[in-house]
Amino acid sequence: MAGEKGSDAKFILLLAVVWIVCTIALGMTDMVMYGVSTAWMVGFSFFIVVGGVIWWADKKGAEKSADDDGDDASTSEE
Amino acid sequence: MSEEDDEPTKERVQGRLETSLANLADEDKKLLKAFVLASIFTLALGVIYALILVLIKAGFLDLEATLAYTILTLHGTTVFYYWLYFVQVAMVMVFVLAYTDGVDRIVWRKLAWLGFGFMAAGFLIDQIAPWMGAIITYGGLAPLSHNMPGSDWFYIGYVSLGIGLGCVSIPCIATPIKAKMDGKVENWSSITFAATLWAVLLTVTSFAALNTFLTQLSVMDGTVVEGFDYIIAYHVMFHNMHYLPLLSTVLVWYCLAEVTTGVKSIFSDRLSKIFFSFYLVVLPPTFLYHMFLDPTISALMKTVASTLAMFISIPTIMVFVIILVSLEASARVANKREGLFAWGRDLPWGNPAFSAIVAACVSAAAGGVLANILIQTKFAALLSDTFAIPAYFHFFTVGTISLTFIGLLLYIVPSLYGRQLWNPKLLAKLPWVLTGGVYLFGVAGIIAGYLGSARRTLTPEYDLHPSIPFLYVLVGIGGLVMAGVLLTYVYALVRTMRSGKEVSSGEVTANMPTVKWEPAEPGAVKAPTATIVMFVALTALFALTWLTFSIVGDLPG
Repeated sequence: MAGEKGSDAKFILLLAVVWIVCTIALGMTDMVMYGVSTAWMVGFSFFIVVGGVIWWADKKGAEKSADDDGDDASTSEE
Repeated sequence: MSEEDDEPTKERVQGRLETSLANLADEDKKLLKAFVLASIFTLALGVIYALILVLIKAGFLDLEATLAYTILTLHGTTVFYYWLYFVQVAMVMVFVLAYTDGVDRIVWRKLAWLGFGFMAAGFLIDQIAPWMGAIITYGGLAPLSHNMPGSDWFYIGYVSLGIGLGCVSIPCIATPIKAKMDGKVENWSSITFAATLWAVLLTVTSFAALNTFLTQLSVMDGTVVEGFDYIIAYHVMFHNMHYLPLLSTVLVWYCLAEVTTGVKSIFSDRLSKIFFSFYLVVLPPTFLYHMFLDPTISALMKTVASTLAMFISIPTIMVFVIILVSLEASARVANKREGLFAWGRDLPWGNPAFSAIVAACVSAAAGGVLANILIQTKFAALLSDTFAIPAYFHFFTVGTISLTFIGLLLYIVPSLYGRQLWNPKLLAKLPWVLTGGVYLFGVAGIIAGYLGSARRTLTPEYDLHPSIPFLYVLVGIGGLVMAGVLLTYVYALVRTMRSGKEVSSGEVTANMPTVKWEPAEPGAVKAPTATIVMFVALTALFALTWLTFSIVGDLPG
């Protein structure tokens, strides 16, 4: 979680799970409400996209930091 | 202790907020200024409409009915959809710029400008449409709107707003992600995290807005859309739209507490992120409370919805408790005062932004207690169409949310313009005057609602109880006080922009007194105030709930 790598993405992906559960639960009731399921599906899909992008950005950032550290180390050795 | 020692330390916190805003690139400053100016303009206009409405409601002014409803539509639309959203976008941009390590500019700034353009176009269209005949209140009530000239333009205005909000939300998400991608930050601050969450939810909400208003336009054009129900579709969007300001309000409290006292949450960032995330957890299950009057929904589902709706205030309460405990513990460690509430004397009461957030909490307490009454399904059915509803929600929209946002503008405007705030001593007193006005408006209006006075009517012949005219005089006085204070804030902000004292960077907020405390270690001292506040609030909630059920129980059938 927060304070660990990838924690921001985990929070957002967890929200996606909650919205998926809500969408499924609504589908199991007899209520017919225009636009609700669609809006929630868009919601959790977007959470998954954003969570995935944050995850990827974390990974890319970590690689970049490692490369920069490597460059610094080689520069100082020279 | 000498009198001088009693004064709070006047050491100014050279805050991250002020420094970041002062060092922004000119292009980003221009963008932020555009949103800030639009916010102030829409606030002023919305308040002028409100002024006319309270004069009519109190019986001080008589206006032809159609004109009065036009003003009612303009008031709701201008303040709820345009003031609240121009200012929130400005604030969220400020948060991602100031509180994300490694960020020095807005990513995809042109998209944000495009969004601003769509929002501004939506605002202009929605100002004109009611004058064309679309007097359908800010909810755009359909099918009432179907034969009204200008109502198609009214929805087009909302479509433009929806596109605009979608466009501005993306740069607010992309900016902090770019910092991660560049390896400049591993974990976001809790403020950046919450601001990003806000922007993510805004994107989703903008989709819901487009789905609702584009479908409504096509229905008006003669297309048959199977199953389309405007009221339900509207409330899917509206539920998010009225919830987003709550998330940004607590975010501003969190930020301003630190700016004015130096105290961040004494708990972990993780805990704050959990509570901010909880806003989006409770959002879907609480949606159903908008449907209490829908006859197609079963009584069982309404009871379930009513129970789930109780979750709605939990994240706000928890963030409030985190801030209060952090402030009290840090003040007790710093000043070592004896006495249960003596620590409160050291808070920066002379700071207008700090006064604003404390007064906002006083209004939020009343609004929160009343909200928990109204989400009880049986009582909602009795009160939903009475004046109790607008009387109650002004505790939130004016007393809590608008006041909090203005509190942050009191820092943003001087920092962006490099000028000191006009008359901070006067501005530190205004939140208490505003709160007095909100309570007078709210309490008198709720009583009028309980006596059966209908909502969305401006003609007194519907008000049958003899006490209602007097109550509306009180509502009118409360409304005039609120309008007067808000217009004074507008004047103060404009005056600061135009002729505030120009000072060097780092001195811009020097005329706003602050204290600087080190955040205490958790458990270092006892901090009982939050527990006492919550006990009082829960007692009031239980007492009012008991009263509610007594009233419901006495009803025939």
